[in-house]
Amino acid sequence: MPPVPVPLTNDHFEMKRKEVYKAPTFVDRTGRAGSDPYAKNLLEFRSRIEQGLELPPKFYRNGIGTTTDDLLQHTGVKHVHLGATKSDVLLFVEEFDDFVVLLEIAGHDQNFWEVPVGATLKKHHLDSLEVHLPGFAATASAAREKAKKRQRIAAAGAKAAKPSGRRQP
Amino acid sequence: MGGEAGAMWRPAASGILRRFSGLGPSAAWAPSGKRASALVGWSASPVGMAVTRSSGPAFRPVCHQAHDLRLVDRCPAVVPMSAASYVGGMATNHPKAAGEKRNRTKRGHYRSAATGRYISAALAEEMSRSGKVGAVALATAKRRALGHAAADEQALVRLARSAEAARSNPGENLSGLSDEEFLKRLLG
Repeated sequence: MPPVPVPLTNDHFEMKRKEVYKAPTFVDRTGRAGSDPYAKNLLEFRSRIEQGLELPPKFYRNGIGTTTDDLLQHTGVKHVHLGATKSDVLLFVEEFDDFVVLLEIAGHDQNFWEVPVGATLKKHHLDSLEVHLPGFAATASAAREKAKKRQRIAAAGAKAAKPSGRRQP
Repeated sequence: MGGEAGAMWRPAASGILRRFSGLGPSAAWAPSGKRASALVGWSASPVGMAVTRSSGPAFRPVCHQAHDLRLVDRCPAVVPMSAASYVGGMATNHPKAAGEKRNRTKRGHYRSAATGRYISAALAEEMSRSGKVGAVALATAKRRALGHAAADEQALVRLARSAEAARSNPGENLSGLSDEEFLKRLLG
């Protein structure tokens, strides 16, 4: 049986190309994610993760790096602010080596102010997600290998097409 | 200013500031027959200005914002300082203070994870104890929740259904989709 990947618990997202998966239990509890500016931010988040670019500070909470994120420490789930840093529309995400899983969109109330913190996330998403994580990891690593191969071929093609340094008389 | 204020707020002959109910709310805090509207420019409010007498207990106006006509109408004239305990600088018998106290009673409660509404501590405990959302937890929610049972129950049922569906649905890879397709697949 393949090992279950472990979520990353860094405050920031890695600047590394990653696949984006939707959890089978994904739910938008706010009902606002489809409208701007939240939808726009969702698309920006996805494209930055896929391209391995740095996320701008507006996606992160205030006090990142100076205060601890209890939810992240307890469950390994990160949250991204959609709309603005202080907005109450949060995208809850698990980040792994090769991929990212979108769990749900909710406000602070639902996941931060419950006892114990993140109990609902764990109960309704993480427990059922564990079964699928090895599959996600396998697909993501296969996709990564494929992308690497494509890059190698493209690089070789570019090298071959490049004219040699000697000038023709 | 303090001495002047003391003089202005010196209690009337009865020993208590009189309330001039016959002149309407604007006159409610008028000392010695002056209209309250005349005081607005004099000082923002008589907050914290204890009106003392040479002998006897200290007196203090209850109303914080004498110029706020909405409140003036509901305030008694003065209460002895010994009788009023102050919560955050506000007398406990003030309507605003009563509101604060009402909110504080919610400290014994938790927010429901499902709906964000307040649920009782007992219910929160019960829900966190039960490993998953099952018939028992739902029945407990139904029995115990205070006022918001229906909403909580519906949300929990929805989540339980999606958790059930997750076992057969492996999730989706959303990489490489167009923007419209991504949003459509994600949000449905």
